Amino acid sequence: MAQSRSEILQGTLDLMVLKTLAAMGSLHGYGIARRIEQLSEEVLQLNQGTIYASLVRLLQKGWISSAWGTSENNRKAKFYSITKSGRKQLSAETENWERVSGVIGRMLQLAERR
Amino acid sequence: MNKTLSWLRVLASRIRGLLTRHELDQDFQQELDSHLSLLTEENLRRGLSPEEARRAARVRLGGVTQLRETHRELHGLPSIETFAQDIRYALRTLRRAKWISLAAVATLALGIGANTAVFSVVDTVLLRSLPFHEPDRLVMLAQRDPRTGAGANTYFAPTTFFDWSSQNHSFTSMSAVEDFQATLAGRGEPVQLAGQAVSASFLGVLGVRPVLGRNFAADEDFPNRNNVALLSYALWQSRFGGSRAALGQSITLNGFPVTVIGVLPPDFEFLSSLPSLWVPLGLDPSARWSEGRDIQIVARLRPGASVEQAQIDLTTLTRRLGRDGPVILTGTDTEATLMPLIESYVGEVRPALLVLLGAVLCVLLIAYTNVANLLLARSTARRREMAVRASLGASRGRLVRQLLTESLVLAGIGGVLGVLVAWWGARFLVGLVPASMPIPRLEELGPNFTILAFTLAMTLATAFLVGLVPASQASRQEVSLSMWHGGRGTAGGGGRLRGGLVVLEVAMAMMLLVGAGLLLRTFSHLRAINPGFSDRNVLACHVMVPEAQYRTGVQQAAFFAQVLERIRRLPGVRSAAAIDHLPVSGHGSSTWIHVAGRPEPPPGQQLDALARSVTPGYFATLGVPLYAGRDFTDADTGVLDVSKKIDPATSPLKLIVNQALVDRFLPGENPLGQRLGIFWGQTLVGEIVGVVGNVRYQSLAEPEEPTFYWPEAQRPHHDMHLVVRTEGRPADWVGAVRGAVRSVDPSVPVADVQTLTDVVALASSRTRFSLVLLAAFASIALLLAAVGLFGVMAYNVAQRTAEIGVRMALGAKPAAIIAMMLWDGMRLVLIGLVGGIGAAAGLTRFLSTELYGVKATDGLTFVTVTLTLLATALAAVFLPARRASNVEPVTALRYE
Repeated sequence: MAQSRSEILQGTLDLMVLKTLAAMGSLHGYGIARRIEQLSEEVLQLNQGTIYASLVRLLQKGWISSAWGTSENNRKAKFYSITKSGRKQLSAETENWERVSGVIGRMLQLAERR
Repeated sequence: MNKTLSWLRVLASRIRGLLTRHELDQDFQQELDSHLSLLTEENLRRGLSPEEARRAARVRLGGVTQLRETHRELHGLPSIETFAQDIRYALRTLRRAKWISLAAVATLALGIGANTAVFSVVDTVLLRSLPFHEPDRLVMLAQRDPRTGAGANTYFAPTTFFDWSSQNHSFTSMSAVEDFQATLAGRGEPVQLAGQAVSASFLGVLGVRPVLGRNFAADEDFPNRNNVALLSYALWQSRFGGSRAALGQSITLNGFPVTVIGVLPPDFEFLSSLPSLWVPLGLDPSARWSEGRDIQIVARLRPGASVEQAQIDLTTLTRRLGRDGPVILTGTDTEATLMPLIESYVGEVRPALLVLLGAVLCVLLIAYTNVANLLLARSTARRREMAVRASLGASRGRLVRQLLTESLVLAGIGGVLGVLVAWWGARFLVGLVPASMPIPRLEELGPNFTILAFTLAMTLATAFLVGLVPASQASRQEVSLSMWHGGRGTAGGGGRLRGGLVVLEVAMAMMLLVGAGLLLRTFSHLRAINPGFSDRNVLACHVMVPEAQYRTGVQQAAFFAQVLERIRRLPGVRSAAAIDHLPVSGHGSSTWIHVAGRPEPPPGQQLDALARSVTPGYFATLGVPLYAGRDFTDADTGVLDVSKKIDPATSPLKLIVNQALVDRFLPGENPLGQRLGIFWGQTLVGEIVGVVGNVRYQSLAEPEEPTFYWPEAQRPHHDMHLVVRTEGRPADWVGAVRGAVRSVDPSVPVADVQTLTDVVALASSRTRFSLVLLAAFASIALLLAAVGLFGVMAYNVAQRTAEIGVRMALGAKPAAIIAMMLWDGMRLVLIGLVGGIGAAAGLTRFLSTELYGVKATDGLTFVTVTLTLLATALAAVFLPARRASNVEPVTALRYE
């Protein structure tokens, strides 16, 4: 039970990271975390470190790539960008997400009308 | 497909991560550092104090240590890492239970090692196919009397070979084979060596080609044209340094020049490992000798011909020839049988090897049983630990894996040590094989990796099985229950299983001990046999003169007379003589005899006697008593030329007979002056001039047979065994005896120099071989069974500590506690003993061919073995039982 819950969370976080990178191009870990927080209008307060587990998973699947660069404050930082197969995966996941959320939304409305 | 690919990519990156772990850690640290600094700057911009800003940044990021762990885990292969962790943990727990672990490892090493060593030998000798073309179609021809059903005769007269090979319908080819001993001279010291004289078709029948040079040509297989030879690979190496120049060279064989025409493959040997030279037999097909059954026949079955057809074919052929020709040749009543060639190779050693195999399987079973028992005992003792771990969140799979790892570690260590034992054991076995058992193909023996792999696989399987039982027990139980009751309640299924294993161990140890005991009794009987002569201070050696130089019997007899004369003159030599075949060697001729002037028994009922040719002084030298008449003297001369008809009336032949012959042929009569008719192609007649004591010639175990001796001067040989009685250690006279022979003719080698004591020891060496092996295995089995018993009892005591404490608190005396624990263990031992006695009684009959003077169901052996086992078991049970009686009731109760 515990495992399946975390799997959903992991999946959503991975999807958000992918979407962020698709929209913003190359970003470092802090940048990605900040961007997700901003987009959620600070509703989602991340334990920012968790972003790194997600990044490793995506790297291992070959959906993103990484390279060392220099951050705004002149420190060495790792920059991540989405790969071609990452984009493909993103569109597949997005479609899937929309379908699922659509179903859930309809279900919830149905339940309300009753 | 896609899924597999991405899974593979994850795997690859993880493996990479495992290899570059340190770098990854550093990279990640750097990444986190810059993340923290960015967060801190953001907080500073919001107006926090520098210290506040840093603290808040760390909170937003999360616990760095935990992040690093997660990161590592994602990059590494968790299963491999936990496996390493499991192994470390296993080693730690095994070390904690030091004695049990040591016992288990030693047990496994012995079991695996002994098993692999013996299997290697059995495989090399019994199972591996012969290095010939289609060896399944090769057979040795034999003849059997269907009325007596006696053992098959595999030796034939030349005429039988020619009849069979030219007129059969079932074989593609046949070859005659005759063993010989020869003196090889030229190129270095003259040596005696063994060879085989064969038909030109020999290599063709076997389907073997020389590695160098050529095969015999068909026209070389005739008298006076057979002066060519094929060398064994070893002889080629030792005598010619492996040089190609050996081809075409001339060597001297028994004084005749012979040309080397080829070299055979290194692994080539036919029926025996001894021959190192092959020459054409050169039989004269027109001569049709019907006497002298000296040749063996190897044949290749025609494709499509069955063994049964071929047997009928040859039998019909023999009957027809027997009807048409002289009856005496082969007899009309015999039938031909075929023996697979491999049978001729291994027939003799098979029983010994099979007994060995049985013994080692027993030991292996005991070993595995022991390990199973030890691990079972331990796992039960660790039930509580398992329960605690389970309640702390270890999954069932995790616990099972942990237990399996432990047994795998045990099996692994045992396996590695087992390899060492196997390697050493195989060498040891080969070294133990006595010279009297020239086991073919033994030189090929090496560490057998197939078998080693098989044994290791078996070990792993055992480890899994043994590991699984406690693992499933441990993980199945109710966590809460066993946390409170884990230490108690031992009479469950595990206890019964352990008890059963102990019973099995005791039974198998019993069987092995009985086998070893029977052989020990056999051996002591053999050593106690009086062979009819005194072997003390007698030197023996084999001397063969080259026939080319010593063509006539007169020359041969003169040579040996001169040699003996010189040896007798040596200081410290009491007496010296010669005989054609040494006692207890099993070699030599026999023939039909009857009392001359009385009716001859009809064909098929003739009586056999051994024939030995001796010089004067033989009986005195060997201490054989002379009961009546006289010894031969130098006056008993006149070489018998058996190629001509000898008139019985004028025959000068004198004979000395043994007591057994008198008892059989002339009971109650005065044998002196009586005349015997001896079948030797023609009937020779000789006069009995003396009666001597019985000497065992065939073997130690076989009773004395009627034997007659004729004077060597009348029946000379070109090879004789010298026997020299010395005043001190015979070994001190070796040089002098060699010198005496050399002084007469330097080209004559002296071979097989040994004491007569060695000759006698060799005669019982086969029993000794089996005995040493079986005794070794029996001791191992006894030791292992004792260890197993001790382990189980010690464990039982530990388990019942609380119960014992209660009993003692309630007033039970230590003696009662000891008795209770003793009975607990000895009950198992007694069941095992009963089973073992039953099994041993059933199985020892397979040993009966190896036994002498003792029945396979010998009561004394069974009783002694039972007592030995009982005593050992009692000791193994007593130690833990006494510990039980020392339990302090208070401690025992607190223990819970």
